[in-house]
Formats: sequence, C-alpha cells, structure tokens
Amino acid sequence: MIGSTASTPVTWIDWALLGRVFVDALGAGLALALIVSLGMIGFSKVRTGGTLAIRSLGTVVSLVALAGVAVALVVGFHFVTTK
Amino acid sequence: VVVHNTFLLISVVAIALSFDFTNGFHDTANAVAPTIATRALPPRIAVGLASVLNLVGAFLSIKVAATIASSLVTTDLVTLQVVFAGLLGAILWNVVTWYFAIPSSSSHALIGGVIGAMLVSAGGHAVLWKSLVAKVIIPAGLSPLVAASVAALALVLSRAITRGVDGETSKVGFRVGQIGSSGLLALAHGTNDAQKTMGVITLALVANGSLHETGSAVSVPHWVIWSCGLAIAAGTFIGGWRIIRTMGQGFTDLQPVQGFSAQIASSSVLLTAAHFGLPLSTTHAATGSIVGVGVAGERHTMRWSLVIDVAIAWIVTLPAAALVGALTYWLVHSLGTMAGVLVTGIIAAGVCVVIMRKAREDAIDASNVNDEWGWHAEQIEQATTKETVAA
Repeated sequence: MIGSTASTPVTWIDWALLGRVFVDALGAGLALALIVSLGMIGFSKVRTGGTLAIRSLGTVVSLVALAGVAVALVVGFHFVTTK
Repeated sequence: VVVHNTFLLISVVAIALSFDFTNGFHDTANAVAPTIATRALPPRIAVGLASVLNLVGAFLSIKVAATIASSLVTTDLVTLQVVFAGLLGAILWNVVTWYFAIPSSSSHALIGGVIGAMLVSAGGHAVLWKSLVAKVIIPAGLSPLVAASVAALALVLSRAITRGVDGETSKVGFRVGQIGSSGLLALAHGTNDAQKTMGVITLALVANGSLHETGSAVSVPHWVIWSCGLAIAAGTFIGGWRIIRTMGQGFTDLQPVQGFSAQIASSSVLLTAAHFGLPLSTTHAATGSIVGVGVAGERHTMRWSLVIDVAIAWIVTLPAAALVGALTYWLVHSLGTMAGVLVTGIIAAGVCVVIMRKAREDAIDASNVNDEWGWHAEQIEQATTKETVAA
C-alpha cells in the first residue's frame, strides 16, 4: 500500500532471481545441515570414542561445528536486519 | 490528500493492531511447530521464546516499513476507509482459518482484504493485476516447492552424514539445532510482519495529517514501533495452538532430524528471498518445508488429504479476504464513516466471539498440542455419540 509502481515494467516470473534464491537457499540450508551433522559426529566421538586421539578429534570437530553454527546465525541475523 | 478524521484514524490504528495480534497467533506455528512436535522445547517455552524474538525483531529494522502489498494497488486511491475494510477482511479470514486449524498466509489475507475494498472503492483499474500475479500469486505457488526441495535435500544430507551416530545423540543434536533455527525464524517474522502494520499505521497518520514527511521520508513514531512489536508478540505468546498442531502433527510424524531440516530450509529460503527483495509468505515456506521432509522421509506417514485442504485454503485466501474487505467497505461507505465503522466493527467482533466460543468445544492448547493426530477427533466423535445416545 506504499509506493505505487504502475509505470514499472513487471515480468511474470523472474526466473533468474528465482534461480538465485533457490541456489543460495539450497547452499545455506545444506551448509547448515552439514555443519550440525558433522558436529553431531564429533560429539558422538567425544562420548563414545575409544582412544584419547579420537575423543580429542571429536572435541575439535564439535567446537568447529559450534563456531560454524554461530557464524551461520550471525549471517542470518545480518540478513534479517538489512533486508 | 489529507483528510482529518480522528475517529477513523483511531479506528484504523485499533484495527491494525488487532490484525497484528491475529498475525502473531496465526503465524506462531511457522517458527515453533516442528520444535514443539519433536519436543526440542516444551510448548510454552517455545511459544514464549518465539514471542520475545518477535518483539526483538520488530525493533531490528524499520527500513522496510512498507507492506508486501506495495505496488499492488494504485496508492493515490487508497483511503483510510479502504485500509480499515482491508484490515477487517484480513482479521476475519485469519480467525476463520485459525478455527479450522489451517496455516494460511496473513499477508495474503491483508492483500486480499485491501484489493477487495479497493475494487468497490475505485474499481478494477486501481488494482495492478499483473503485479498481483507476478509478485503474489506466482511466488505463492513456487515458494512451497522451493522450500520443500531444500528441506528434502537437507534431510537426505543430514541423514547420510549422521547414519553412524547413535539415536539418542542424533535426537539431542538435531533438537538443539532446531532451537537456533526456530529462533531465527521468529526473529525474521517479527521484523517482517510487524513492519507491515507499522507501515499501515504510519500511512494512516500521514493521510490524517497527524504525521508529516521530512523530505521524501516518513519517520515511524516510537509508539507505533512499540505498539506493533507488543501486539505481534502478545499474539505469538497466546499461541495459535490449533495451527501449531496441524503443522507439527498433521502433515507427517516429524522426527528431530526432519524438524531440523524443515526449519533450516524455511529460514534459508525466507532470508535469502528477503535478501534479494523477493517477498515470500512465511507460512507457505514453512508448510512447504514440512511437506518436503515428509516426502523425503517416511512417505507413508504423509497425510495428503490435509495437504490438499491447506492448498485449497491458500487458493481461497485472496478472494475470501477480498470479499469481506469489499463488503466492509460497501457498508462503511453506505452507512457513513462513523456508523459504518461501528456497525462493521461490532459485527466482526461478534463473529470472532462466536468462533472463539465454538473453538472451546474442541480446545487445543499446550497440554494436548502434541497428542497423536486423529486422537482428538475420535474423542470428540465419541463424546458426541454418547451425548446423542443419552438424549
């Protein structure tokens, strides 16, 4: 209800824009799924890993994943505030 | 054209805040349904968190204090009566769909209401039909498909990677992930949807001569931001339990990995689309994601009849809200502004009260929102049969 754009040409479907949205959303979604899933593998090794080396590796993977999630949330937050 | 009418201005502000409230409780499900269904958070905590984040979201940005309806109608012809009628149409459609537990788009209801009122007020030439199709109808059809695809692929990836992880760790991990993704969705909803109402109220203030433009910009008053934020947060806190139940339990039996995949898909699609300036409905993306993980997961648990019902409701939303908006405008115009606003307001309030009372007969709240799907209907059927036999 703000800003009439009667003179602006309108295309029925902006396939290029839709494609970018799909590819970027897919990238973001899969990246998050990857980060959290890897973090879970790391966490499961922390809990059940046999040797100290495996448990340490699990800890590192979990922490990296946690940092990844934090970065993803910050990026998401940025999108929310700048759109 | 500035027209001073304090009564109409107050009515529009009140009705806009009421719409914001219904928008909150109607859309609570978008952010929290999978979180509640997979027991990542207790229902009250999930809704409370979403409510706080909706309030925070309302303060994050007022850069886009416009609506999704921008460029859909010739704005020079929009009057306070049109806005009032459009908002009333949207409110009634939100309450009706809430009663039937159908997740439909509040934004589309608002657009439908305004278009209906506009058609009666100024005629078909005042509606930018091509924009309506290109910016509302086509994205409404495509966004659930995009969200469903992203959600399905995220589910396949998550399952493939965590195949070797023990069940309990996997459940806990994905539940924790869900808390973050649902929080982000609630934040995005607060900033996006609260701004629609801020835009409507600000426009009403300008149209009434109560607020003046500084240069080409209009600054949104603090009380408008506060009241819109509080209205949407209060609505969210009430919790649209009926719709939460449909989205969480109705479409499919969600597992934590599915809930997580659905929520990151809807967050990703909505935030990416917003980044590129493509307005999408939160409801459509969230519903599409849940259906996507249902199809990619245990397909036999999908309840397609419900999916079809919801799809039909989406198609009906625009014309139904338009019809109420048109009728409201006609009444306001015919009876005179003050009498018309009072009469339509009283009728709408009466309809809402009747629907709310009717909803109490099969109340859904935090205590039974996670009951097995179908169980509730069976209970009601049994109770009705007993009553009939007794009579």
